[in-house]
Amino acid sequence: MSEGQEQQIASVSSPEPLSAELQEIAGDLTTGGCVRAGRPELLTTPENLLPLLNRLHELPEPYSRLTDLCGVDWGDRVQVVYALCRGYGAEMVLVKVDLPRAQAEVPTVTGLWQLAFWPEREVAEMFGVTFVGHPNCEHLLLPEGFVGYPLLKDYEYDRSNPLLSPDPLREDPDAVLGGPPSEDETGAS
Amino acid sequence: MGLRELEDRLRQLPGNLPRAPEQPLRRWAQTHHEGGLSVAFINVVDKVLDTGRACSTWGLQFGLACCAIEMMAVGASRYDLDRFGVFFRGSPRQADAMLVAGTLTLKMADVLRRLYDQMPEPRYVIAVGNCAISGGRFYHHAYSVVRGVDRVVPVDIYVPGCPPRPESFIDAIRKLHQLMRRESIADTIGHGERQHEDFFRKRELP
Repeated sequence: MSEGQEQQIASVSSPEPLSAELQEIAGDLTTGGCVRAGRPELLTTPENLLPLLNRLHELPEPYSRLTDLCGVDWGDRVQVVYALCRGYGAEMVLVKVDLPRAQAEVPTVTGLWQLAFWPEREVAEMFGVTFVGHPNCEHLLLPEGFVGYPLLKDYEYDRSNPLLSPDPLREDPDAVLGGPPSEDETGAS
Repeated sequence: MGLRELEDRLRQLPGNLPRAPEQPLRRWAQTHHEGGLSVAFINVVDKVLDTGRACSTWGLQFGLACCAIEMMAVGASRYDLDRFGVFFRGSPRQADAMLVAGTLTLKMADVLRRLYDQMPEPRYVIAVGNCAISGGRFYHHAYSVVRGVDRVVPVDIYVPGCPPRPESFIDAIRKLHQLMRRESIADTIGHGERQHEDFFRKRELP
């Protein structure tokens, strides 16, 4: 996705500056942050991720629940998004990590939340992110032996697979049936 | 090219003309076994067997996606498949027909094939819904959806729709019964293999 489109999205949801509380808690471990649609977002690096999550997890009012963990492909980089909640409501903070496409590595958070086992497996198979230290990072939804990371924007499915290949009759009926019918054929039928 | 036109042209192809059924048993009876009597016997047995088969078609329920909801509706009391003798079974070994309703994914394809292989012959497959026919709305870009159940198992009846109405589901069952009533035990021997031959012949268009 280009810079312009990204700015367009950002301007639509009009980000506001972070609250002083979050700025004080996480300021030194983040590379940026804003409040978008009423929800704080923290941008961090892979090295600072675990300390930041630990700190959020050990606040007096801790963000103790990991409600979601997902991946985003921005074209030039892959982003992993952690959604943390606290209290009984849905008071949420998003922690985002940018990873280079070539070497997308991020430490696992299964030590903090065991439930991250499943979404991390899914993000790993769909976006090609390596979760360092994950106990068992096999394919979760994809069949075994599947090649490629299907949720990356530039992924093309395997057209040589006989189960997935386009139907020749549908793609190019004239090539399959040998050209449009001649007048003799139509007359005969 | 319109669909009707395409169908007409497909019908003109020599490979797609209906073939005369091979009847090895009937031929053997005619030549070796005092001809007429044996053939008459086969005809009577056919009638009894076909009626029995068509009047109690037990279906292997293979609901894979939203079409399965429609299949449930057809099985429930309003449309009531029981009156046609169709009962859903959980085990392939007790089933005559496999009702594939929904999107077949790569991961499920192996399972579908294995369950089909476990069904006793003669066995039939009904593909319900656009996804089961050709991949449906997933045809163009999906990385995980098999483009039609007929790439894995030979299909006898296709039911188009997204999802199909219960009436068309019942119509498919009636069509299957017609298909069953045309069967002869003379044809049924080696039914599965012959179906496979037909299947591959159908795929190999000139």
